Amino acid sequence: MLQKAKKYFLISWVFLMWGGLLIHFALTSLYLTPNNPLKENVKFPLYFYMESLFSQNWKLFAPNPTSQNASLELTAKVWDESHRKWIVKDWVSITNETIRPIQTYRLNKNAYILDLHLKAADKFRSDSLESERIGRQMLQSIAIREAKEIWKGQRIKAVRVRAVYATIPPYEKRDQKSSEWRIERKDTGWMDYSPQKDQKEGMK
Amino acid sequence: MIQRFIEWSSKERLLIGASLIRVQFALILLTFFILNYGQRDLLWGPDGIWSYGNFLSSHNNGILNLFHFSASNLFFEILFHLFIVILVLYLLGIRTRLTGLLVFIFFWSFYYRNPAIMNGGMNLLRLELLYLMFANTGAYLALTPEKPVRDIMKKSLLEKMIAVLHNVAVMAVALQIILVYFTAGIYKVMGSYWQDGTAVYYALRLHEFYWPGVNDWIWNQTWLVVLASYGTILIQVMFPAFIVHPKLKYFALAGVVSMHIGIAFTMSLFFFSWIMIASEMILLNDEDYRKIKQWLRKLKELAIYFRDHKLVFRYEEEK
Repeated sequence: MLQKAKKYFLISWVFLMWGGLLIHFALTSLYLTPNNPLKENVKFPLYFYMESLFSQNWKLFAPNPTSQNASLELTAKVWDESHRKWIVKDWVSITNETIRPIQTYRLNKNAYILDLHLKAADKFRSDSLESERIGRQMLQSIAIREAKEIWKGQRIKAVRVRAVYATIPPYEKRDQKSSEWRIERKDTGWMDYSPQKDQKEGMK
Repeated sequence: MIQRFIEWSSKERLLIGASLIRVQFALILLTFFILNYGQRDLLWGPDGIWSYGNFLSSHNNGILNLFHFSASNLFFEILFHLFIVILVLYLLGIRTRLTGLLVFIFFWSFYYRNPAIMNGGMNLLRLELLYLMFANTGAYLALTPEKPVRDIMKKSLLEKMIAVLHNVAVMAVALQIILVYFTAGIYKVMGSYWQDGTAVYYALRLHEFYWPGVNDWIWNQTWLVVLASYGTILIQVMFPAFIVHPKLKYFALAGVVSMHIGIAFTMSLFFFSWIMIASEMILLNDEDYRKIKQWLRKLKELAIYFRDHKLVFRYEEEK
């Protein structure tokens, strides 16, 4: 009797597990499809299930790889002791300095700082107000750190970042000089040389 | 039929692949965290670029992680160093059921503490670590091996249930990697750059991936750009069909491994490539690994044979 119960229990377990796997991957496949009427009909429960533990996106350079190089430029209001006034420094490209070591040594820790630059530039340009706010906050954090290094030992009042988006020319114009590429810019305006309020609040 | 399926399911499979994945994932994470050791505070610390406020305000999938317990720097430092210790234990194969669970919890926490630096590879790693918590990843290459009971008749009900869970977990890892390729391939088919065969040019031209001297040479070879663009789609879309074929799977694996080695160097995406190649280790069964071991042994014998003959030859010369 006990043997029989064990046998049926094992059969149930096997079907429960493999059935569960089948259902999970059926849902994962549906979640990964482009928008379609079936996905639209079950969107709420599907996303509720998938985005709890299994959120994923495998577009990986699809449908198209990005065709813009984003970079950051920084300026700051720095105290000039000789003239007894705040002066605005020239724009400095902070992304180029981060990229150069990566181009020489392929496995480089700078890659993660660069990821932060690019993510901040991307979010800052977003149509979503929340993303733009996060992007601005990240740019401020990056700017404070970089300004501290660039204008070491000097009094800094405010920082300002310009995200630059350069469009890669089409393949047939691949020899075009980078100075002739189409450039778009977005400016943060002056930001305090101190962490933002929400960041401090998060720390409490 | 049902009985055969139950028996098939009750014996742990793909044990060598599961152990190899464990070792690779542990090495990947150790390298990643040690590489970023000097800038850990910047990436995950309370004063990091992805602020603690941002972390708290993002929904984090509605699930708590270790960073929710404290915003203090000391707590962060403890978590960081503890994670490295856990990864070493996982790598060495010590109590892999427990360390596997801890690796998932810690990695989940670091992943959501700063999602801005996590790419597709890390996303896959997060999912696979979740599945691998239910698998026996410590049968091989482990200091305290989780030895499977080979004789199915001697197994208790609980052991059989654990074996079923293991098989489902390793199958989940395999299906996940197949889905990654298929989805990536299908979405690429829809892209105009992939259709006109120039997508690889744009990817190589991004300054974060640029390798001076090498990438320029590649994108100036029109045939190579077109071949690499179309070849990538072909490999990715065909991968699920090829991988289930007993012979074609070797070609499919050779294709994707070559693709990832190329990506690692030309686009500097080492961790992404390493994670993808490591994940593919589950796609070969224990029999395949034994065959590989035999080939390697034969190769070694051949090398020894040539070495010895060279020695004899020299000896004769000296005489």
